[in-house]
Amino acid sequence: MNEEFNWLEYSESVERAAAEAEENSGRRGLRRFLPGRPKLPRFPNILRRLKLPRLSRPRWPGLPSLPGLPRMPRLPGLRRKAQTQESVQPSTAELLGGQTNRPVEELDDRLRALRERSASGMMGAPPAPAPNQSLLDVDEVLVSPAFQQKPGGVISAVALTKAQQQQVEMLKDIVGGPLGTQESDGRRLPRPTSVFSLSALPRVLGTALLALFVSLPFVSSDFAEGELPPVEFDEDRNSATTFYNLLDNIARDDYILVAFEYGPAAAGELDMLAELLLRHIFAQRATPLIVSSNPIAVVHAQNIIREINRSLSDAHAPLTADEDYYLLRYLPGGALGLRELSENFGDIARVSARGQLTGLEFASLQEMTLMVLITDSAEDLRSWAEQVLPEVTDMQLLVATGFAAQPLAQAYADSVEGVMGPVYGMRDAYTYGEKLHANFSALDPSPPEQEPIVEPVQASDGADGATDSNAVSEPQIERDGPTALPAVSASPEATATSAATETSQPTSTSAPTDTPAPTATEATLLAVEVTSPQRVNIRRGPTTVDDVLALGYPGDLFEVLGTNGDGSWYQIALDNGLEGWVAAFLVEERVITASELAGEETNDSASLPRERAVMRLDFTFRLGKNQPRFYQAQAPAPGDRTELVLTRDRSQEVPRLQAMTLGTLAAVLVIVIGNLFYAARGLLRRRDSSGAR
Amino acid sequence: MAENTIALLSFVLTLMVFSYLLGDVPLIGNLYRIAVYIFIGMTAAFTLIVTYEGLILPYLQDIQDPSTNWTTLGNRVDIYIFFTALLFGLLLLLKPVKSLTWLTNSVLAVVIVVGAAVGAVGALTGTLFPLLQATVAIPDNLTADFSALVDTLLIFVGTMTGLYYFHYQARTNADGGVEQSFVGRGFRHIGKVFLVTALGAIYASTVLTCLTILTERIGFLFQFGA
Repeated sequence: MNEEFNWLEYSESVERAAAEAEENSGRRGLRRFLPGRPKLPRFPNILRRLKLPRLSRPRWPGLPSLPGLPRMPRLPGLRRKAQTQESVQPSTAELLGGQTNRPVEELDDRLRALRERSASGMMGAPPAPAPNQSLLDVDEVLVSPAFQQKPGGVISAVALTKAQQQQVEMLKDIVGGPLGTQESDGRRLPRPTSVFSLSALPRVLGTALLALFVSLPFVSSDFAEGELPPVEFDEDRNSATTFYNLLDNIARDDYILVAFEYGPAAAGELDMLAELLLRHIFAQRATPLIVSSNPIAVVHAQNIIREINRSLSDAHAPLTADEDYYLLRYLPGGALGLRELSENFGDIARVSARGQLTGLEFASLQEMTLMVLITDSAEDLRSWAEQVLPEVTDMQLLVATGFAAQPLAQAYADSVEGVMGPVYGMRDAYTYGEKLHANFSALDPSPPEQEPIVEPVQASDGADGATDSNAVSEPQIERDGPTALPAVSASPEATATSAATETSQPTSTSAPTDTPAPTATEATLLAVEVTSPQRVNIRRGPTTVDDVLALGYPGDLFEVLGTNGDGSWYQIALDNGLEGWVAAFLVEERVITASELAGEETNDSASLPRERAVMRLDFTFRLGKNQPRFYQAQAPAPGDRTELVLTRDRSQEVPRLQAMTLGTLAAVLVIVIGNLFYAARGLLRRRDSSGAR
Repeated sequence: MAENTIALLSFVLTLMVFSYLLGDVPLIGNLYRIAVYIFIGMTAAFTLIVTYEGLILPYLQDIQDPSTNWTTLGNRVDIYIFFTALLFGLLLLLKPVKSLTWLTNSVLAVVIVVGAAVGAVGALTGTLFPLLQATVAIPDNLTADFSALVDTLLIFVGTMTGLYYFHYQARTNADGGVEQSFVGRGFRHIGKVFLVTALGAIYASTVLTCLTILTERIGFLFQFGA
């Protein structure tokens, strides 16, 4: 260590030489290359006084060296020179190679490989390993002697607390140990590994135990352990219910942006959920636009749709690219790609993943009905929440994740407005699938005896005849439970109560569908009509940061209860007795009669297309900032493609869930036994080392 | 036939990956590596294909088509952007030429700086502000719902002490030792409890993820065997 290279002294001597050269030439910097220019006043060089490290300058090729001027030493040259010094600090691998605190047989394969690499890559003659040589102190490892010799330098010393010293000791225990073999010339060589390495035995045994437990349910049904997940999400999983209901409320020809942000590595966990979500969207004849910032995920999404097509029989039309779904080009650049998606969606939607024009014309991302994110990574969720969600307003992002990303997803769902869910893991996927299957089984056309008897809603003669005729063609069906046969209702108000939840929605009791003309004797009231071409949010308070209670659609009428101070928000009455606020610029005032309002509500829930009838608030509650809201699920319409849900292969689901239960038990067993084993070994080693001292 | 071949390949590759359990031993260890190399190679190939078809090909088609009015993909600016990106990409290829490395570094600097700026803005608007708002938000029915009160307090205390855990300021004693104040140590300990709990939950979630994938693979193996 006596011949160490003193970096600071060397660089300062270079700087001194440069300063002297500049003083001798009478000019500083680039000015010394310019002839005949007056001398400019010197600018106080604060940076030099601070003694900050100097940045290297680009080396321009072909710059002629001017005679008579001193050559400025280049920093890269200094760096190269420093690297060739023999006395530079040894690398981490070299340090590890010199440790003797721990038998090499106990090291993990990777640590052993690191030690072997350090032996084979040792610079110069290796120091003779003293027996029982201990690890270098951290002061020696971390702090360069050159820095130590400089009083008041960058680092003078490192002071360790007692806890940090204990951690250093633990590090010694982990990585210390002699190398296995030594050649006669003193150069250590890698120890040959054998097939029956004892170090791999605990790992092999643990995994074998795990694999055995996991395999049992696939072998025999006698090992069917554990309860299956419920067919409905638990009451404390309101967010998952909201997730399902929102996706169940999409309408025919809606566009759903589906973000596939996972690749083949997570396929075993997320494929089932992704397939379910896609089938749910397809079954309602909505159109998913699939995007991803991962090129492999694009290919994987195509494979999942191919699997869905494969499950369909010949009688059913397969899903067609650029017609039933769109696989858009992938988004390069991670966060940058997502930012482009949020700001330039129209261009992205024009091109498919195969480089063909899709024919889609979107002005912005706002034209999507929903966004669904399927990801195995919390980072991807964070990127979507940061780059896409702030750029859209009043848009929900439904999040489906694996177990590993669930904690962060839950935090976002609880805190960030617009993030809904998460639905995660295999148990949720099973529940989602059962719920979906039960819902669409009600309309299964294959068994004739189960075909629902449809009683058309009586068409009205009023002004809403067009919408009433729509109701005749698409009657709404109510079911009592997930497995019950559909009970057909002719009453309009019953159509909005087909929720999977049991809470009934207080709807208007006025049954007539025809709207009577207002008479002079009827009392009038002030209402607002939604005039925005898009759906509008009805919020808890007169600000955009308040929770969304319900949605209003173009033409909807709401009774006005009041306004805020500046008249920019209306307080309105909702169907379910709650009160909400809607922005004034989205609506227009109208004076209507009570019967007109009631008729509008009745028609709205009974005869309009289902996308307007079903998006109704069931109930809402709030514990925190962004607690989940409930929307009603809906019964499938006759035009839905139920075969896309009912043809799903579910044979592996139950054994996998049971294998999960047994596997969890085995994992706990392995972790506990492993910890006990290593704790006992550590105690024994500590006792041995204290005895040796 | 093709499906059977794919299934057989999947079966063999799965077994090759599982050979990692036996460690880095001759022959068997190579099986795992071969499987990984195949996966990496196919990933690279698919990435290349998807990039070419989805990103490069549309521009080339647009340029080659004489009937195009330069607006099929948007407008003329898009073409300029494409050529700029192409130029940047070519400059990146100059990395091995030492005298021109500064050009490559300049391109990388643009990408990194723009990415950092976008990331910083997104982090503020998409994560930090909403989470901060949720942390300090007081529920409406705080007085009526005791659980809401506890929930809010837990979030607040956990956030603050968790942040304080990474606070390393300490006083120097007369004997030269470093010591934190009693209150500071207390906050750090509480923060450590929250952090360990959170990390434990994440670890458990990761174990469940691994188990899910394992069940899927083992289910596949049994399905293939049947």
